[in-house]
Amino acid sequence: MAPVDTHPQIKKRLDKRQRAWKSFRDTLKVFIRVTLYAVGLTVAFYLVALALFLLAPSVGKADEATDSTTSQPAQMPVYDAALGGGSGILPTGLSEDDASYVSISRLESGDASYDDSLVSFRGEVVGEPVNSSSSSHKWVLVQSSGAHTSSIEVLMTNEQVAQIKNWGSYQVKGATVRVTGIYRVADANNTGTLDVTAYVVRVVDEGGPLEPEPVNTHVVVAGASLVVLGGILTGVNFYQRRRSRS
Amino acid sequence: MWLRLRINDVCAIVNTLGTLVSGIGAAMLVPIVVALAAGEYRPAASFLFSFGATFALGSAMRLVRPKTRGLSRTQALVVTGLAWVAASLVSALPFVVQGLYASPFDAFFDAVSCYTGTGMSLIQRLSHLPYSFGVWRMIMLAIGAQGIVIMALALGTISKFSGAGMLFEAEGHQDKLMPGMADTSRFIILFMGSFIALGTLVCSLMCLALCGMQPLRAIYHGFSLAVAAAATGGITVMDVGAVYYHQPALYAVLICLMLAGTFSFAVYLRMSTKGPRELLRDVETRMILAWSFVVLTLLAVSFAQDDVFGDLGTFLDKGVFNAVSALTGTGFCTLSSAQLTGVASRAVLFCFILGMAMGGATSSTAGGVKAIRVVVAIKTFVSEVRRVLMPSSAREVIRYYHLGQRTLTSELSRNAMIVFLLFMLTYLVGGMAGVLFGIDPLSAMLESVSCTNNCGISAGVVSPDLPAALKTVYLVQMLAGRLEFVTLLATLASVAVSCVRGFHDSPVGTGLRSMVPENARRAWRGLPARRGPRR
Repeated sequence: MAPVDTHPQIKKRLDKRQRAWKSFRDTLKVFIRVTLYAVGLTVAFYLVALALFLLAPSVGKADEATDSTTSQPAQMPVYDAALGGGSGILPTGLSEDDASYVSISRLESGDASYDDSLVSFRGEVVGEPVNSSSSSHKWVLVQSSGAHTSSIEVLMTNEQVAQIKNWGSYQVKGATVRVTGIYRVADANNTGTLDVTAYVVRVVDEGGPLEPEPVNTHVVVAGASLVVLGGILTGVNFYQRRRSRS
Repeated sequence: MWLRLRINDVCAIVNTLGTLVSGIGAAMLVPIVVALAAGEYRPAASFLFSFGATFALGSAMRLVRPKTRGLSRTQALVVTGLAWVAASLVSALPFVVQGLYASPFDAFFDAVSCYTGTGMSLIQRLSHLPYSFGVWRMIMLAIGAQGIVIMALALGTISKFSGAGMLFEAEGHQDKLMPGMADTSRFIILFMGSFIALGTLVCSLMCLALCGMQPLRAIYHGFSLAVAAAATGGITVMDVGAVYYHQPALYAVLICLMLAGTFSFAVYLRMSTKGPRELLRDVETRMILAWSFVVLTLLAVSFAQDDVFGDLGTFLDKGVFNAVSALTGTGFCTLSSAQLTGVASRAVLFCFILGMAMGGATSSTAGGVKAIRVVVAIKTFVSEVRRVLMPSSAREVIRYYHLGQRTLTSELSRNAMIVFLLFMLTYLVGGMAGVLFGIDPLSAMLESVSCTNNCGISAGVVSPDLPAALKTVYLVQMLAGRLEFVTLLATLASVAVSCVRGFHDSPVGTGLRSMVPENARRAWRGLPARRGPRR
């Protein structure tokens, strides 16, 4: 009797398995190599970018920078993490009434007239708090209501974030907050992000889960009927094909 | 003479499209499962209806049987062109049923944007989108990034005997990586699937540990980021885009995934037999790296001279990530549209336009002109200049290394130059269309290049309020860029000619042209009117 693995059918099956295993190993090998390449290229991109930036000429930038500091408003509050803390303490000599009340869409559009000034706005918090580079602060996305929404990133202290119980998502209305803080079209403290550093955060409305959207039974019935129709048509197609083959 | 379709061609096209539509319908089962698991019952009903409608439509279309097996070149071109439109139409159905868009056209626009990997979106309140719809957008992106036909071949929806090779070519995949089309498709799917899986794992862990998200939310965000980066689609699940995450380490991982998606899969496959140096030896990879160096240099100078973004930290965080996103055609952007157009210098905006203009490699998930065409165009130009200086009897052979040693032929040059010029022309036409609608020229150009190259970086022009005419222009640009013009133009020409003149083998007088009196047609052509009955 011939050994089992020399039987043609078994040999064929073994060959097929071996080929599949070889193909899998090859793909895995390529995958690892490409991953290493991608990581290497990413590091190279950062290093090249660093070198290029250090070598790049910054013609006339120094003069303009001096000019821009002198042209800044005299009352410009300097961001200081210690001033936050949800205590409602505003920079020296400023109160909540000094803030300009603006819409989020205005802030989102990068309105330079409000840059580095105290603004106040109202909106719904959505998503979740995202950690920032400072352990005492978190990023919160505040969104306007209505059909056309606008959003703004707000840097809040952990204590301010703790006041918020509901975060907007599907079927959940996030808390509506009134934020007073310093608006910056490109925050130098946060790698140029368009944001607001909150000083005072007041929860106007707690928000909460919404009433579940009613399921339209007509849609379900129509959908089920169409699935059945599709099944029948597939059956007819299958039957036709078999008939034409035979 | 324009080649008109025959009735058998139409039957073959409808039959194959039916198979593809059924495949898209089957993909809707995934969001149904997600919706039920997440307790999203109304979205589940919307998906059930859409699945039923797509399944029934696909099955009905498959009943139309052609007399011949397999697809001819013309049929394959038309099938591929129409497959993208049909897939987008049926995929927009759940959004319409759920009422997530202001109009069905907006839903169609977004579906096209997802399939082509552009990533521009008209949807509002993304953060309130049900998970099932978020997953569906990512599925569309993943299918579109590999190619609808590739996906169908890999999953066995289309039989490998039904003209798979023709479909494969028509979708813009010039390189046959393996002996069989199905094997090639499977390799691409397996490879990208592995990247997406690894990317999901790493991104989810980062969202969990660095961003401080809840485990399920971290997986959702991680999956979305990994798909969007590896498929170079740039779609995000939050309204503000990639800036939401604020984690430089996460951005570095996304750069890895974007780079992996932008190089050629054919080169990756050759690496298994020819060694790891194959990637850097390939002229297409070298072109992408050289172009990246040029763009990064310009961007470094622009950032260094910028008053607002002129520090090193900002450049490494915002500049490098956005530059790679533009270069790979992904479309992630950590600068808001207001910053891009109003706060940063115009030089920065110009650098992003330049970065987007070339696109990735052939047989990759990236769109655009493709680096190999730029190489061929440059080599053709140089050889022309050199030929002028050489004696007339001299003959020059130009060689380059792309998946082996190749010789530059006149046909290759012509094809590359035509597509290259068509891309440039489309950039200009789209830009001019934007200017006509009152958009600032540089922003209009950014939008036009972004749509044609399926990148998705936006100056904030694309919004639900955009006039329908301009939305249509951008929609056509997205499709034209993804199908690399030839397939789309061939589809439009075949369908238009067959509609106007009637099918080749249909009875006389069935086309739209027959509705116009013959004498009116003769008058239009400046011929005298015919008197009496036609013999």
